[in-house]
Amino acid sequence: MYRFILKRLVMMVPVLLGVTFLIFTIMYITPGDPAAIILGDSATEESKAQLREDLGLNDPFLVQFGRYVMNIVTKGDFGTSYSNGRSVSTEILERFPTTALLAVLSICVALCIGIPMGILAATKQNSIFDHLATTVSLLGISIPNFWLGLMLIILFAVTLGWLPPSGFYGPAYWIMPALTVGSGAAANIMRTTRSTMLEVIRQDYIRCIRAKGQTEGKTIWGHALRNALIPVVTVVGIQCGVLLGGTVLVETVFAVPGLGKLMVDSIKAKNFPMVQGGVLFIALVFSFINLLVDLLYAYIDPRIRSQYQRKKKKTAEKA
Amino acid sequence: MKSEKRARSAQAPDDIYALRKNSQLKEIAGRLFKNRIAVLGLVILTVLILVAIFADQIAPYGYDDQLLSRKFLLPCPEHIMGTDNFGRDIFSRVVYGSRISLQVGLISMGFAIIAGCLVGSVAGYYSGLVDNLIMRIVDIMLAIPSILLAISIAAALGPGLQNLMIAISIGSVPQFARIVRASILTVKEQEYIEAARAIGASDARIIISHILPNCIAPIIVQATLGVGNAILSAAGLSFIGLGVRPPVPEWGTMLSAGRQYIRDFWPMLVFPGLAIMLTVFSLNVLGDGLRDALDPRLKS
Repeated sequence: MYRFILKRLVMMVPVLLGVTFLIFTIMYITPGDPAAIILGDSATEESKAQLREDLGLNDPFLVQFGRYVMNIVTKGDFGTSYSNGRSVSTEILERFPTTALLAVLSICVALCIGIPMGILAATKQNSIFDHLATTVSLLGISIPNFWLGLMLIILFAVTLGWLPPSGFYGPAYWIMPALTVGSGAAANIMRTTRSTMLEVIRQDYIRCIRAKGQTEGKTIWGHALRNALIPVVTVVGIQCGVLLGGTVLVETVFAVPGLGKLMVDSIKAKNFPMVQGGVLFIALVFSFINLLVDLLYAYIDPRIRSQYQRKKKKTAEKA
Repeated sequence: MKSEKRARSAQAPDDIYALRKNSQLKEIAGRLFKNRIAVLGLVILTVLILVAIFADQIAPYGYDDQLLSRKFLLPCPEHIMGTDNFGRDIFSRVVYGSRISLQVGLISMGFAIIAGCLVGSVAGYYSGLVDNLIMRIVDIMLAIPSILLAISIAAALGPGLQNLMIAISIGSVPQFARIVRASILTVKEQEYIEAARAIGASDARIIISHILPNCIAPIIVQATLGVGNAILSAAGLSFIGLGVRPPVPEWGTMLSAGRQYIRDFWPMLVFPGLAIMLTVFSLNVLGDGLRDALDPRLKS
């Protein structure tokens, strides 16, 4: 198992290096002079030239890229913000806990809605509830999440006055953003849970458990769900990436002071080191989530766990 | 007489193939039309396409006809969706917006499919080093959430309809490349591919004429769902100012403009959003229906 984790961590290195190269290249080819953005239009040509030299912007592309990577690896330094001269890493780390909290709350919302609804829809297949749940889930994946956020603000903040329309200062502020980000993921999780549960509950061992007199609740929650969880976990993993991307728009709608809003503000201000750092950081988090999902497979399914152990035994035997 | 018979027997295999193809298409269409919700999606989508084509005839006003004395009108018989902050008819803008959104969705997906098929088929067909290299690049692109990749590219290219489509297509290429490669890996080992190789068909001919037509089902499904996602991404990018610029009536841009009036005037936010939802919903249900109709396991 440890060998697997180590192998996956090693495999992440070239992918992350590639992501860094891709994002660095996109930002490098972006038109606009960083020196002019930092100093403003009124700056003299000499001062701009001096700043370009100081920032190393006159160096060849590969030299600049190498320096950027080395700074990340050795110092955890993603560069300096054009807007306020602060370290990008510091700003990201200041904002990330808010985004992480929003993502965790959203995934909780998605799991709490998606899994029970998926199970109920599967166990009551072709009932009114099943049709209703399926239609709602289809609508859920079709609604742009930022528009859903706007509609929730109109309903719960403007019309009913029950919830605050913006900010992220406490539980009351968390409800609408978490619902907005989590709704799409809930719909996807529900669809996957329903289809995998439909396959599982038709299997012989479930019939056998029922024949032995086990209660329906225990049969579904204790036996069927565990076997239906692998595809669900895969979807949850994928949805984490979508959620992290989705927070960018939703944080803008609800004025949540997270990484997503920081990135949107940075795009408007042409603060490219911040955009670059933000995208890289999210890609890094996404890669770790994927690793965690792979490890969860082994935790949920003993067959996968035994595969790892078999591989370990084989290598020991060979040695 | 003999020559006629010979000609008929030479024609026979072609006819059989044509018949088989026809009956297969009929079978798929039959399965699709049995799925009521997929038919609903198809109907909505057809109506939307017709609205986009005949926007000039359907819209009662031009998308940029301003009448400041009539601004912020709630829905009424003259303006069924009300008017916006410049006195423009929201219904007309939503109708013209369907052109932009469908154009973005179809063109960006078109490019993504072409690029994805090219990259995926080369990787799947040649395997080895080429496959490894291409798929690692695809992995790198997939490590970034697609909306973030599109945001980065759109930020680099600047706002505008063309740049928006480029950003969305590049963000969607990896998914298509993956799907095409996976399909090609299963098809390329078939005997008829070996036969084509044996009669001296070139690699390009084998891929284009023999392999891709046999991998078309998952590509069609992904393309249908992809157009919906592209419309969602376009609306999202326009909403944060990276897409189409006003006064072009793109639905995301309309939502972005309506945001500042959220407390006082809901029609600017409700109708463009409903239009996006309806379009994406129709594409999603149609995509789901097509997936089921094209799945040979569900034939019975």
